[in-house]
Amino acid sequence: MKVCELLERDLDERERGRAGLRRIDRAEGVDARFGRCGDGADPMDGLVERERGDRRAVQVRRDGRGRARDGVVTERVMDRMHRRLDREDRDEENERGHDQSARAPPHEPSGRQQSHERDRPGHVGLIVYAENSEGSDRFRGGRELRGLEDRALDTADMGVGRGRSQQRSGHGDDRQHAQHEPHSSEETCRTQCQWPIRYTDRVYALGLAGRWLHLTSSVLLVGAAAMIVLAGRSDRATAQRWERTVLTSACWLALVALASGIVVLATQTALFEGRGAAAFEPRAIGRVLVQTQAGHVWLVRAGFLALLAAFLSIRMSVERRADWRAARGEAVLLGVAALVPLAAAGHAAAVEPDTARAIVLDALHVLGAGIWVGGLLPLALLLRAAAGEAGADARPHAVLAARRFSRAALGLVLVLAATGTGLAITHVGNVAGLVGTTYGRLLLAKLALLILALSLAALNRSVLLARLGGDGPTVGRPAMRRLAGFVTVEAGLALAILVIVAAMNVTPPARHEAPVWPFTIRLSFAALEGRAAEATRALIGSQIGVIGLVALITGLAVRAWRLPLAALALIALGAGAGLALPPLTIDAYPTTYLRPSVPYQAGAITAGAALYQASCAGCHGARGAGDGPDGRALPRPPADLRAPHTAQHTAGDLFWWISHGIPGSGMPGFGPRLTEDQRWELINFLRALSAGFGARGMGSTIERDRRWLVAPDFTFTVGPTPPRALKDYRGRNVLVVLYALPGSRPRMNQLAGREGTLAVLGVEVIAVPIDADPDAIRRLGDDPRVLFPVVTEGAETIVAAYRLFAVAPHVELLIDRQGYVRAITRSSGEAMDLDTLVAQVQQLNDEKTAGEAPPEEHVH
Amino acid sequence: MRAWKAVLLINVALVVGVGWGYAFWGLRIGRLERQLAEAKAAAESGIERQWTVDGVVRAIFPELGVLVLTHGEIPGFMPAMTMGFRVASPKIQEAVSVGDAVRFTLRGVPPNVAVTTIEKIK
Repeated sequence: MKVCELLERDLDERERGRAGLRRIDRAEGVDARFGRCGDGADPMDGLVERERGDRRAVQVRRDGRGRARDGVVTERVMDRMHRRLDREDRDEENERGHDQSARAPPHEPSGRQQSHERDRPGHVGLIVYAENSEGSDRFRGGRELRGLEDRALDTADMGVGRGRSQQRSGHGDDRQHAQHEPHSSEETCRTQCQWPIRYTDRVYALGLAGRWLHLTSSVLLVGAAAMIVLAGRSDRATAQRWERTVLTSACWLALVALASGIVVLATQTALFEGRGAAAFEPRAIGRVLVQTQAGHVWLVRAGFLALLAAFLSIRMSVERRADWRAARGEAVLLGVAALVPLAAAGHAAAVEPDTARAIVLDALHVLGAGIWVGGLLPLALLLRAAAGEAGADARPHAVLAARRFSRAALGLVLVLAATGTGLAITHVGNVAGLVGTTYGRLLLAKLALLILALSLAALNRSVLLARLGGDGPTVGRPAMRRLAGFVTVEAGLALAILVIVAAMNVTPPARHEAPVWPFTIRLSFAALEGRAAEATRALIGSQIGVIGLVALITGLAVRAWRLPLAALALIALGAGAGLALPPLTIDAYPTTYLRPSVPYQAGAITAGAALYQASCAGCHGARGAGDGPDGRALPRPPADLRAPHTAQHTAGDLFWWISHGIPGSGMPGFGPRLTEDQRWELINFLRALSAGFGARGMGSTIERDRRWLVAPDFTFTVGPTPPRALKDYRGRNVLVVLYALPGSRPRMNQLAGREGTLAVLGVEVIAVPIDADPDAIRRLGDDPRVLFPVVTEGAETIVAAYRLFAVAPHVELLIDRQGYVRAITRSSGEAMDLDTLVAQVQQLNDEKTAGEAPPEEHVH
Repeated sequence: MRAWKAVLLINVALVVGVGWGYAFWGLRIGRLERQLAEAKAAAESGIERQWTVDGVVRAIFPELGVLVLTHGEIPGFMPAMTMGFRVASPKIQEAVSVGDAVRFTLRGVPPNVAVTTIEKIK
């Protein structure tokens, strides 16, 4: 391909990349993370653009499996949407004339336009989950091309992005390497699928208010219709008046829901498009409606709301029982149909895998909440009406309604608790997510309000409900009046919960956020390792705690002994906790549960090793034993970094110490000196170092079902073919052979001759020349024929990382189907009994791996 | 009209509407996608095609007229792998030796393809 063609293409790519760039620029200066995640059909690279101030670094991440995503909008739909967007952007460009964009770097104008928005500090970010598929693909193409023009000139294939980035990572550029490697699905999701769009407080408040109003009216609609059905038909005047009032307000509520739905849609459009003005553009709104899943859901719901409003506005005769049932039942049906699809447009729709399960859970949760929360207000109205002197005729009806509602609510609350727990596990995952992220804290606030509401409900149920049927003027009516008041308060609490729900809807789920641990300690069983006395103490404490728990349950069940049992339970639980918990505590830091931004990967380890030698070896020693010459004068001897006690510390703990130092120990903070990624690389190296220390004992026979040594991923190239990663071999056994000619010649001949046998057994051989000779294939020769991959690029990195596990002239590492190193053979390269290897592989093949999770792609 | 009849009518209309929409759009989209895939496959089969791919020579079988190459992806034909290809002429085999990085042209009606040209790169 000619140079001019390349440049033309480059320009074209830049042009097309504008949609992506504009979105990035919105969050410039904060931490714009976005990129694309793929669907199965098109595994592709993701691009992470980080811009901090003037410093700019383009990072390309290859998402080999391309499966991570998170979106209220499904990717395929967004894909289409962005293709359209790009096309239209280009069209607009053509209208405006090209010269402007040709002069200025393509990302600048849009960035300026929006700068007044993003410069406003101190507001909560609204986050859209969506994939910038097509846009960023092209964008990436443009960026990549620009950075690589020089290199591109001698390569014909300019296939957008992928080929290039892989080519580059194949060039053995370790630092780049480390950052560019595949990320776990979560990580990819977190960094690539969100565009934190900072909005002004006003827009945020408007969006939130709209959402709340919409949610509340939709929920009340269902509740009102359901409450009427629960109460049943009545011929009493007061009850009928109540029914009419509720129906009329339901009709208005449907209209309110429709109107607020439009506000929600408009804010959503603004978020999808990444610019506030889009909220008022019919064309942009149309795009969202037609091309996003959220839009489809909105259309369906709006259709049902309109139908419901029309249905409620028609006065029809419901004298007969069948008619009444049909009419009121239909109202419930339409209300539910208008509410429940919400589940398919929220966070649940972005869960992966098990999207369907999450949506069903969310749908049940929404439905349960709709009937319970929405039913409270109508019930309060009925009770209030019936409690009065004038409404005495409807009192039996109200009593019946309250009892039925109470029974239904009990079931609904159980459903809500069950589905809510399921959803919390899906969206929050762990305690760190619960206490350390915005989403988690919102959830805690929601729970607090819920507990308040439920206690009130329990009081109503146990005390007031029983009195309702009592003598009218003295017992029944006052009880009913009080109940009406309490139910109103409960409804108020429920509406407050909906505010939190609306906020949660626009907050990224905790699972995708970096949790900031708020406490200085945490509890972990790892603290007991090697401390027998403490372990005993914890055990005794836990047993006392169990006794307390049993006492508590017995106390709840046995009425007669309730007080003493409760006291016993309290004392036992307190004593148990006091005994068991202190030994379990470990110091914790805000970053304790932070997920590394750099995966456990040979390139990262090698980069970390270099950083270690430069910054740490002085005190901790060249081999990590804590015996460096500079460490002797320190107040505390430097830690032996090889020791297995690192299990007690999360990667986040190490990150904190490296960043901030350890006061009083002489360990300085490297925060100002090393970038975040460099610190993570260092941690990757430390993990590999510690693992390598443990791997000294690993021999050439496998230990059944004992997987602990994670094989760091690496990429390699064979000749001019595209780079591959070790991870691509998951599901097959891999024999990584680190060889050196001429010593390894006999063994290599042996392996080459029996490659067919090994292939049949499901073993892939990857040969890595220790001297990293780019001409390794030629040097191996053609007798016997060597057909397995021989690494010609990337060998240095692999050798440097894997030498932490074994040092010998010839090393063979047997990696199982899940990516764990299971056996290490150290030799000088002589021919060995191949049957031993075959036996090991057969044993590996016999292991059951179903249900075993592959190792995490990050250290933890 | 009696209310229950009206309600029934509405529901029937809804069900029919949704069902009709699915039958009309949902099924048709699936059908169109299948047809598209079939048409693509039909267009590509039985026609002589040609690819230029980079690879590295791993083994030469002069007696069989086969060259074993570790090659990159051959779009629409096979993913990156190591495999043997027939050569169109013995000269092609003579021109290269094991370990050479090459750019070669594959030509033929899949799966019947042969290496027609080869050149060393780098």
